[in-house]
Amino acid sequence: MSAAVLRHRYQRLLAAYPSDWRAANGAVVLDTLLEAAGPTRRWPSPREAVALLVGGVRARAQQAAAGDPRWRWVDGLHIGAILLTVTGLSIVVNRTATLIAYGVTEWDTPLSLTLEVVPAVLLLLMALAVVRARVLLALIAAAVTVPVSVTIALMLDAYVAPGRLTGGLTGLVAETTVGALPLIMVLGVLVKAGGARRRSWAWLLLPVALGLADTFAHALRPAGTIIGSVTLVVMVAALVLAVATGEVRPAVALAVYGMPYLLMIVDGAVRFGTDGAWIGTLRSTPGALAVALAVAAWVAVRARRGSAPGGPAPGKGA
Amino acid sequence: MREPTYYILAALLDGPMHGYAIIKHAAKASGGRVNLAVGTLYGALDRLAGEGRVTVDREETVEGRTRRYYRLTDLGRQALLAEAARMHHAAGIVIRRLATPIAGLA
Repeated sequence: MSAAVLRHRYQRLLAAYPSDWRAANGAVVLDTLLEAAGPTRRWPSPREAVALLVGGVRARAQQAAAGDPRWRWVDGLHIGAILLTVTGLSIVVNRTATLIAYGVTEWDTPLSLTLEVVPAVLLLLMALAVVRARVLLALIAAAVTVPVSVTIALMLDAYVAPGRLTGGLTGLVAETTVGALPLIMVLGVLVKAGGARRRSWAWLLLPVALGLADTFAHALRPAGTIIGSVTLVVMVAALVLAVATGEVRPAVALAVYGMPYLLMIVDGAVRFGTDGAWIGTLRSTPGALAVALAVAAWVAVRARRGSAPGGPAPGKGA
Repeated sequence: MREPTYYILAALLDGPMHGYAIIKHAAKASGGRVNLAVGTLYGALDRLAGEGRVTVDREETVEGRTRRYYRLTDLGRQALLAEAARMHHAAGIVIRRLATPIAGLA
């Protein structure tokens, strides 16, 4: 029993290594770890855990230095697109859970509730398509989202509260387009690059967890601030990783994730001026970091394109 | 050459050896000073294989556990001997010096 538990814990640590390295060496390393651990150990020793984590980061760095930087960018863009779509889907989960748990409010009408189904279906379709690498389908869905959202907003505004839309039709179209633009652009690049690789369905647990947490975890408030702070820390870590090792995927993915924040700033500056009142810390910092991440990823790739890879190709010989 | 690398290569002088056997051999040969973590060992073997100093000899399954045996290449043997000669020379300088008292201090 303890061997199975220990095996499972070592397998988790081995996730630090790149997937192709694990495919080539994982079984041998795991069996060596279990042999070295002895029959009674239940937890990996701290020394072994640190060695595996360091080894994993090193193997990833070697792979990044040796591999084609182009597909790392494509992979990073794909993960970024997944983050954007699952974030959108988490709003749908949150809304659905709120309706089920707390019922409708005075603001909800039969028409508004009916119309809400359309973007919800589109967001679900986008998330499914992006995760399963159907990027053209996701692009079409993302493009359709803009006119659909504008139409629904206009219909609801006319029905519920006329004149509520600040900035009129132009402002509404601009805001909706700006919101959808990062995803549309990224999906366009992925389509042009020939697609992406299929990801696990497990990614869809993320929007479910985020949506339900936002609905029910009131005790954890300010959850938004915690998530925002964690995001900033992860972004800085991705920045360091890209520059130090050339592993640009987290930086590219988080740059994509941060782009809506950046575009919100630009959109706000264009429409309301630059008095700064509308720029909150949690809005502007991810935007600024998104630019830094994109630049760092580009610099890292440029730097390594000029230097020959020094280490062995991961997965070979060990 | 770093000490863990030296003892890994030295272990393989006895013939092809699997990962855990290398760890035990290195610990014993170094008097317990070089106690390799498994993650560190395979990182080093990865690097040494990339440099052509060791190569995979074979894989076997023993009692349900997969073992991969590594062996020393000619390049690895040369590098190990060169390092041993360098350390022997360096040690000789100190040992000879200690064996010869300095005039005036004795």
